[in-house]
Amino acid sequence: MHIIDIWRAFRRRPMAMVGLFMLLAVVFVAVFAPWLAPYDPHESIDVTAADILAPPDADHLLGRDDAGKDVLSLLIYGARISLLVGFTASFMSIIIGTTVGLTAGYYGGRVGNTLMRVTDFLMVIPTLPLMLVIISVWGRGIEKIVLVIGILYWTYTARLVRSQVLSVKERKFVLRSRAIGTGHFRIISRHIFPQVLPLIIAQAVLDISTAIIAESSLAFLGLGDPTAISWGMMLNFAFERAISRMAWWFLLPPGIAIVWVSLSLVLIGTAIEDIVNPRLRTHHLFDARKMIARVVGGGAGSPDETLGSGPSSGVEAGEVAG
Amino acid sequence: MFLLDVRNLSVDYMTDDGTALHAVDDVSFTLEKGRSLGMVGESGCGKTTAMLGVLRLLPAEGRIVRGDVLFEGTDLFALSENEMRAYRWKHLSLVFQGAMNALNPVRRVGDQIAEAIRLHESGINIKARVRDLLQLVGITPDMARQYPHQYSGGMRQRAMIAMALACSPEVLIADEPTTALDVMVQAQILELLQNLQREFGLSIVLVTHDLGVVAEICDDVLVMYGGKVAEYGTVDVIYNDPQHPYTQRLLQAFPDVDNPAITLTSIAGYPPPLDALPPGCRFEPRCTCASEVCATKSPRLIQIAPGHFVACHKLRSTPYGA
Amino acid sequence: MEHKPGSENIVLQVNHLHKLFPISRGIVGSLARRPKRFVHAVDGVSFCMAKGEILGLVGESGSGKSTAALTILGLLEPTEGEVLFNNQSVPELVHSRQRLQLRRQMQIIFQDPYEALNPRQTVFDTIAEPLEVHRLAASQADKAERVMVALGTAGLKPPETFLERYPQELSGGQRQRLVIAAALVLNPQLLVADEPVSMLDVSIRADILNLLRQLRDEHGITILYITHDLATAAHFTDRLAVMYLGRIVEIGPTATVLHDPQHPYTQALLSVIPVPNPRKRRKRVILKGETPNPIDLPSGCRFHPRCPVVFDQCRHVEPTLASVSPGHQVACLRS
Repeated sequence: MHIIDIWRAFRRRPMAMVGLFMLLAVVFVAVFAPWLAPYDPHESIDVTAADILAPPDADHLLGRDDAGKDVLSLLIYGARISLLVGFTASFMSIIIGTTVGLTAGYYGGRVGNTLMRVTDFLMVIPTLPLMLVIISVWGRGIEKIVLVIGILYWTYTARLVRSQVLSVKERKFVLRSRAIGTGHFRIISRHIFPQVLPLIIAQAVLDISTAIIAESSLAFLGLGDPTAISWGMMLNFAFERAISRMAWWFLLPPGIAIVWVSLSLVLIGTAIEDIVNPRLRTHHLFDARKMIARVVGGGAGSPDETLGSGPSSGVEAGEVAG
Repeated sequence: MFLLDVRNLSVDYMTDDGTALHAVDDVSFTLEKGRSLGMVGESGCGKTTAMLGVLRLLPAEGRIVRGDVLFEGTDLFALSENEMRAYRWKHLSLVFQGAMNALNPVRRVGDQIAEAIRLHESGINIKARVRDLLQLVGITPDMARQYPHQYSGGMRQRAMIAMALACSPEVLIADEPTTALDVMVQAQILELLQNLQREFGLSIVLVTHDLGVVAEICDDVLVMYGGKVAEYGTVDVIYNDPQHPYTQRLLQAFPDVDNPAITLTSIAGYPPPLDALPPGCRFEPRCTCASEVCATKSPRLIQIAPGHFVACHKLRSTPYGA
Repeated sequence: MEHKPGSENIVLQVNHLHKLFPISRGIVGSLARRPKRFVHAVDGVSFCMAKGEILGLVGESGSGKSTAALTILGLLEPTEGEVLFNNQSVPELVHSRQRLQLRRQMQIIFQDPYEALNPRQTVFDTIAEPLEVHRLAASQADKAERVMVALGTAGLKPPETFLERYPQELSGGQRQRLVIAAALVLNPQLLVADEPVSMLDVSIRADILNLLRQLRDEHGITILYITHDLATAAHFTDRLAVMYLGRIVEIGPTATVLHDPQHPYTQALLSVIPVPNPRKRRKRVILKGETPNPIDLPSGCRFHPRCPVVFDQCRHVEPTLASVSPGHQVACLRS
């Protein structure tokens, strides 16, 4: 399917568009954070005892945190961290996963098997504990977090890509290209990859959500980057210090924000997945949509096939002849 | 009284934007007990749609716009859905296109046939009936315990025929029953259909694009083009004295293993797109002997000899019997 | 054989070709050392093709005709036997530096015009690809020129209107012509056509077949036509080879095989092909059962379990192809 077709199908799904707007809202906030946030959370301020965990008022719409900083500003700047981590970690894991999947799927044999065993191995290890161990040992830092997430989360993509490559590899247009003498690289880039790309896009979007949650989990457990206050870290502080005081203004907003962005990404991602992985929506006896698509159209565009005639067509059901 | 009397059947398909595609336009034919009718035409001509219309099994996009279908005098279109269900399978049944691949792969074949029986009849020994049916179609009754993947292609098709005969219908509609099968298996299935016709007086409507198959087992032939009837008559007359230019050209395009020296011809152009139907005769754009009236007026189906109907302007202007 | 091997005229020579596919025994089977089993897709096929001839390879499913074609083209490794293209071994060439050259000269057309085309490539891209892979175009202009010529030869006229279109916008017949054009642009010597028209409407099949015949007449292309449809093969081919369970059971000039079939399988096939003539009453020899799987082959003659005129020796002795008349060979103990 072409991108434009995907977009058109996407536009028709209300939940997908809702997700898109939700995400765009977060992106907007992240991009325009300096202008939107009433205060700069990086500035040190003088605080009095009364400012610590102060409830919301006119100056501070979401109150103040345990260090006296404005929660709303923290929230707004937190969006930057979350999106940054989400997009870069997802990008990394997609690159690794796609490369592994393409190679394993196309070449198969020993190479493929080895790659798949490595993938299985990594897939089986519980990622969160492993991440905790790595970060504890390696040290904190937002780049380290991105790297760790990227290196551990590519396994699903690899499996997905590999299985898709296996099926595309067998298609007749690939065989025809081989018969022409096309080399491996060109077959992969021109013929196989374009068929795999839509699935990768869907997976990438969902991976962003996973990455954001992974980072939030790490931060919540205390392994976040203290110089980059993410929503997860806000939650961490809130749990440690605000619960006893019932300071809901510090506790709820980051949690809701995480849910908001994850939900938006999942809505978008599952919609794309649904679009590019079409399940048959056919009548049990007769595919009217297919038939309509075939008999509509001007002149030379109208199809004229009787399909499925001949046993060499394999076990395909003969297509509708009218 | 005819066994099946279809009068002026018209079926439309509704597209997403509300336009109606005239897939079947004013189709009429009759079927007598023990005789078989071949509905011939190429992809998109409407033959499958017409038969699904007769059985009221159209997909959601299909609408019966006009016409009556009388089975032994009863108007099927006047029945409620519940009443119609009593007719479907018990009096008129269907082996739909690609049926042999529609068997449930995780259930035994015998159970699937039994289910068809159970849905329509009660109080009979189902196991015995299943064995009888399998025997009838040439499958050893022990095979009832096997799964579809253990059956060959030909056997699966026979199983579907057995299922269609479960309630001893008077009419069997077979849509491309031999299209995806080997030549020899095709011959076996045709022989089976012929025996069923001879021994049990089963009337068969054979929907196909294969003119050879129709010549083999059908008594009457209905040639469809662009949703309308082009020619209708006995098999002898259609093959040896075709009057409609489409019928003539179609026969010339069909290979005959007994006359390999003849050069095969083809019909230039394409079947008409349903959203841009020619205003006059639907075959006119491809017809080599079209005249002015053909482009503007759609020809009516007239009887030119007893039992021989043609829709073409170039014939004698006085219909037979007028 | 009718053609003398080694003569200048022979384009393709297939000698005792076998292609077996192993069936996985699984871990248990391997450990238990169960005997290895194979699918005998192609099991001893030999024939020649002279330049410019159209040979029909006819068989039902399980006959091995498509596997034979892919092996001949070098897209599959033969298990045994040799395939000589212009007296050079195909399996060897495929692994050598001359691989690309070989590919130029042997092309294939498939049955399914939908599946044979990459939906993301335009018509131009599809035909340009072989040129780019083989670096045949001296310049962009030269490339465009060759693409247009190929389109024209394949009957897609006017060529300019097709260049930017995608396969989805074309009809089945047009797509098949596109596949033919992409094959033609390399000026191949041998064209393997695997069921090229069986998925097209009857009323346009003749066009495609006539196009292929024209390519032979005007460009001297040798064509191996693979099909299950004896009727179209009858109209289209010079010679016919009938395959059953991986072997050729009868081969000869088309007219001879049709009028004087010697092998019981050929006779049965010809008797049951539906002909568009209701008045024709003929004795149909409808064989019982279906083609057995090519894994556990019958002993002796492979056809003996279904043969209507079998006698005892057939169960023990496997017949080989022997001449019954010049150019006409049959593998049957009766002849």
